[in-house]
Amino acid sequence: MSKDLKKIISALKYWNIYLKLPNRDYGSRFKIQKLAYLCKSMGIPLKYWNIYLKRPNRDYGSRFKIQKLAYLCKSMGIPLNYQFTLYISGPYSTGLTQDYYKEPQLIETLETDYILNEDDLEILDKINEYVLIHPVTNDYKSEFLEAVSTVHYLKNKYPAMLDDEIFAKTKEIKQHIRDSIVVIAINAVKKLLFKPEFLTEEVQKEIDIWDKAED
Amino acid sequence: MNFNQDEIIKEIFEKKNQINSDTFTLTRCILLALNSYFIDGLQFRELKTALKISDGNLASNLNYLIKMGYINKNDMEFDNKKLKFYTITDKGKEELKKILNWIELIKKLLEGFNFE
Repeated sequence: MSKDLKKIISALKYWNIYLKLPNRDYGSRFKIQKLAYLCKSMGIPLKYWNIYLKRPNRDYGSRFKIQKLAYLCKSMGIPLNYQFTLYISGPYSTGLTQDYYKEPQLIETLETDYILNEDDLEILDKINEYVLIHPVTNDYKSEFLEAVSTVHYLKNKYPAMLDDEIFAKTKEIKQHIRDSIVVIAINAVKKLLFKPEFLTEEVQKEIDIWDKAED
Repeated sequence: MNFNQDEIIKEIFEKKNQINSDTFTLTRCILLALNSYFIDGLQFRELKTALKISDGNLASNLNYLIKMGYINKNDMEFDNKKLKFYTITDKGKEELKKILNWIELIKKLLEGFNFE
């Protein structure tokens, strides 16, 4: 198995979002019963928890999401040798596709022996916080992932591009993504790319002025 | 392999007959090539954006390729929406290979040829 694929499987496992599949064992059935009751009594549709009830399998949707997540892992700094292209169905890596087609059961069982290090975990936590558990993913999980990874790719390739230009370019190559999702994705990418050293005294002063003005 | 030019010309004509000439249009060749590259499959809307052609035009080209058994049409659920996506078949890959080999012959024939 490719070492890079192992890394991605470790990431999926760490996020745990796909893992808790309802299955035939008693524990899962028990939990589903309780969750369903809680949902009903609180007026929350069960699909709210959908993200916890699915794990990657061989279907198109899962493969699509794995491509985008793998790209985000790489672009955020997890060393992966996969090369990604942007256009048409991007970010997309044929190398990654070939790897998971070789052993598709590994994605289903999340089998890996790669141990995530501290740097990996920091990146995965960021992706989780700003992308995977973003409220917009309740209804537009795939679309939001596609938007975030596309904007991230453009920001990496053209660092001088302004937000308006990134918005226009994203809409040009991904016409099907809603305007509002692109705007939310641009903000999410800014959070992903933010580093503490960006917050200089000068910037902090300006933020304080704006905060005061808002008060 | 070393071909002399006569043999290459002869082969170009022989192999021409093995290619399905209805498939040898720009749009259909691109559709086969893209579906070979994106092994996972491509959505209708992705193809439409890439090729910049009308829904009707794209649909009729895709339908032709489906009818010939070169690509498959698949259903999927995507963010709770039902969408179609297309994947290449082994027969489609074979046809694309024939086209590429034929173009390769032409390249061989014109190797070193000065177009100016």
